[in-house]
Amino acid sequence: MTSSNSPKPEKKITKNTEISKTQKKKTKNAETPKTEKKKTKNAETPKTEKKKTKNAETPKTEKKKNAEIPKIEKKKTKSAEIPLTDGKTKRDREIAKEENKKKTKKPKLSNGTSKQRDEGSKKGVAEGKGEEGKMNVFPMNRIRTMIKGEDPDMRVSQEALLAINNAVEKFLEQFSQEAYAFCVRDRKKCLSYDHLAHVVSKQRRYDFLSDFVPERVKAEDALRERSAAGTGGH
Amino acid sequence: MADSDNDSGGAHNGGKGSEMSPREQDRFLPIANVSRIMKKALPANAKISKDAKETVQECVSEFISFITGEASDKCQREKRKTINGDDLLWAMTTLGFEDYVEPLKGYLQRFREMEGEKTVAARDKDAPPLTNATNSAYESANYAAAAAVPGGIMMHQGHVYGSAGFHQVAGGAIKGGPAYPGPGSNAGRPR
Repeated sequence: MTSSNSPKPEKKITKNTEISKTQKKKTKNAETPKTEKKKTKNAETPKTEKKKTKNAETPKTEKKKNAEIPKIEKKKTKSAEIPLTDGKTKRDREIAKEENKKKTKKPKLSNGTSKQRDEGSKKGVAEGKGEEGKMNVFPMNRIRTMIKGEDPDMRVSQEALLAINNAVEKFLEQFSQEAYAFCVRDRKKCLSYDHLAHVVSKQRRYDFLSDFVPERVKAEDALRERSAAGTGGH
Repeated sequence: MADSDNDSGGAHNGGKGSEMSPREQDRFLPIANVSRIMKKALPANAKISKDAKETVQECVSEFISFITGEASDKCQREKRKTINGDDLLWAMTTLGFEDYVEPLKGYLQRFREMEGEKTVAARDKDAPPLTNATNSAYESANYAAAAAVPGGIMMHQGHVYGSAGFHQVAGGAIKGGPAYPGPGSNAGRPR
């Protein structure tokens, strides 16, 4: 096994914490170019697929826009209130249409891409329904608290919280699926810590998690190597 | 290792907390939410051990710190005090999660459109660079189309954003003399 990143120095003072974090980020940044090179190849295929489907959707939207544009007055504060309400209802309908389109496209799409898009459409509908409704999976204040803990002086915009919320959901889905692949390989019914540890140890993008699961990975691998060499597996 | 993590968390989150183990709870996202997302991503017959859920809960917190730390550094270099969505998208690209960026752009677009309904004028003033990011009206497909268009046209579309948004909203209720129909229609047709 390749050695994991050096263990974190003990953090007892805020200043030391900040310094150590900066150091980690630098080392991680150094690793990034390799990761990017590998992933650009993988990323190309799904992007082309997405672009094709997206282009197919474009002409319909254009028609709608063209129909709306010619009959519009200039901006006015008073008149703006009523059209805003109507605009929302229209958007709700259009979002519903989008959802229907995406649903019909399910058989065409394969692999993980379709899942992401379906979820995207669902969230779009949720957002369209109402501003006060729950649009996100995780509580916003909790995320804000966690980010504030990172750097108390930094402010966080609402859209940043939304971006983090959605990114965390994608991270969870991807991480869980990759761990489950190891679970299947081991022919076990229950996803456990060891499968997560394997994902972390074998993919560079998860190096930042190696501090949480380094030693157990080594122990497990060592034991399996011995058992494989000795009796070929139990 | 765990002890140092707790110390770090405690130092940063001093004073805040909920009813049960305040500092510990504030450091993680709710495990029920984490568990639900994990189950949704896996086959129906998959089972997840408790220690796996707790491990992933910690990993999620570390992921947020990882991305946010990078975005925060960028804001400090640029002498800004507010992290916005684009900073986080940039951070994800830098740190190896570039495949998250495209879907997230779609979500941010919808969010900005909702904000735009309230304050179109304020939007244009407060965040000029974001205007380019919201060229398309409803779908991320339009964003892809806009991205394919040369830079000059893209800038043009950026200028149209404010009026275009208003036009679409007002179209349903009021009919009258057109305003800016030319650039809007021209921008739409080439796509």
